[in-house]
Amino acid sequence: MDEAVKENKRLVVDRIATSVKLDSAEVEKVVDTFVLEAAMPKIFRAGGAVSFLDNNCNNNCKEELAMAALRSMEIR
Amino acid sequence: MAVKDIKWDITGKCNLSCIHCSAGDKYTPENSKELSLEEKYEIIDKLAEGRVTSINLLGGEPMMLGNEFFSIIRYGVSKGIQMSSNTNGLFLNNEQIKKLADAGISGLTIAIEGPSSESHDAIRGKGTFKKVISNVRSLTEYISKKNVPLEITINTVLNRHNYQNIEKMVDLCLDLGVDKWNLLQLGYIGFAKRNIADLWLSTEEIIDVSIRIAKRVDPKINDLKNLIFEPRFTYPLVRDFIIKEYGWEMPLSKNCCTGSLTLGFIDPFGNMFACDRVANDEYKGTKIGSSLIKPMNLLDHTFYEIWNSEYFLEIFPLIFDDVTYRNYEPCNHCKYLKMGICTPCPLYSLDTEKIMVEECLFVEKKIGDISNLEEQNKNVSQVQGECTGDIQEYKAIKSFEYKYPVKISGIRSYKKKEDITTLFNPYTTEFFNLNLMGTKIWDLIDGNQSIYDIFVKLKDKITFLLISENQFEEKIKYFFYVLTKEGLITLSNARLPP
Repeated sequence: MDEAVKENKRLVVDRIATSVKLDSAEVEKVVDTFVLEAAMPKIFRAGGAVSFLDNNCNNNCKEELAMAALRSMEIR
Repeated sequence: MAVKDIKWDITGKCNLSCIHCSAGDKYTPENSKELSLEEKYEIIDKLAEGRVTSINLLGGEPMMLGNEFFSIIRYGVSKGIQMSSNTNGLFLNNEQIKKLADAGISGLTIAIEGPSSESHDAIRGKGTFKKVISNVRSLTEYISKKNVPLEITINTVLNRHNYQNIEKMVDLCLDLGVDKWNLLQLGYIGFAKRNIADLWLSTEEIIDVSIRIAKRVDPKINDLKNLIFEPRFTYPLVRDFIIKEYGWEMPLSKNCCTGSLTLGFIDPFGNMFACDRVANDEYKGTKIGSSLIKPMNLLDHTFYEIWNSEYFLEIFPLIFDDVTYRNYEPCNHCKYLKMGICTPCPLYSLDTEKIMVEECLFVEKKIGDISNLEEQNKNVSQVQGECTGDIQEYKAIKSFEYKYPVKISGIRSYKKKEDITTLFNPYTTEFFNLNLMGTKIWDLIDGNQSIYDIFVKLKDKITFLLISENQFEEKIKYFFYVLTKEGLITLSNARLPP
């Protein structure tokens, strides 16, 4: 991963961690999943589970994190 | 399921006046002039251009058209369309049977309303049972003798006149040597609405029929030979209840709205609608989403102009949106709705009243939780997984093609959740889901922007990625390649790249 991408990621993780008052390590896990599952365009055959929000909104804290990740991409 | 299945009321004329007729008196001779044979050919040409794979001729009584009926079938077959028809069977003498077979019809559905003249004639008129049974027997003997590839189906509408011994229809169908028996639900429409007191069954009576039918058709108890049975009179939840309480199993019948997805309906005057229900006067001028339901005539428009018109496209979200069914009890929390196995007619939701599916409410009281998907999912095969393509084929795409405008044509789409869009390709009858970024990209396709334009818009908005901008561009290009491969978009070179 090039330095610019790493730096971008660090900034986003810090920003989210501050806004949701969580540890950066936990935020980073969600951000990684988010980029893997939702930030790259994908198409699935019917039945393919693709809802990042559903998969990551098991409790309020995770929901907040997931929403923060979405907001950080400015595409909500 | 055919790619496009057109139901066509080819004539409003009928030799009977059945008390449960769904057409009722909407096709009175004075309300409009029916199409000429040439106009019917013109419509078939347009359906063939629209890649329609099957046409089911209905009415009225299609055989009232005489020789024209056979000409229409021959013409459709010559265009590569599978032709079938429904009939009351009264015209099926030896001469007509031979003409039907020679015309190349592939399916014939005949109405028999019960296992005896008492139940059938009460609906269709005195003496009709004896005649239709004799005709069906001649038909099955002919096609068996001549080895004609023609599927014979019997349709029966469950009602007060036939429910007491309805399971005997199985014996009758086996005796007649037909291929299939459909037991249908009575629709509250046409003459049935007027005669409802004489026809309607209580919830308990329908449940009782379901139990008796399940016992009769359960392969553990009886051999149905090759007879296919479709219990379209009841719901999957009722089937669950009978399996649980009695252990008897009837086939699982899907009860799904396919209007505008794979189904289209044409009236005797050439107007095309998303289904036969939406064609009723009560829905004319009603809005679906932001679009008005309006008749569009195939003599004035191409098939695609109608098939891809606004209200046709709006029906897809109506069928799949949970909001549509919020007033349907108990559908609004039933697993079969979530699984897409049972989606009752969504048009009822256009009224604000609560819709009560009494049989399912009855079952819910007996079996409790009806929302648990886990158990059911074990039995339902779901084709899933990410769609991918051939990497060599992808690499062969020329770079200038990424600057062609991206167009969507006829694909039904619905934003199911904030981060999922469900797509339906009516040309292949396949469903797809797009993830969050896929959804975002889909929303940007407007017929003018190219893949490159869309990439530029997105790259500026994305504040972080774990890959470089170039890699992200590749991901987007590959995504569009897969969309093209699945027939969901086209890249038009109408606007030449700069």
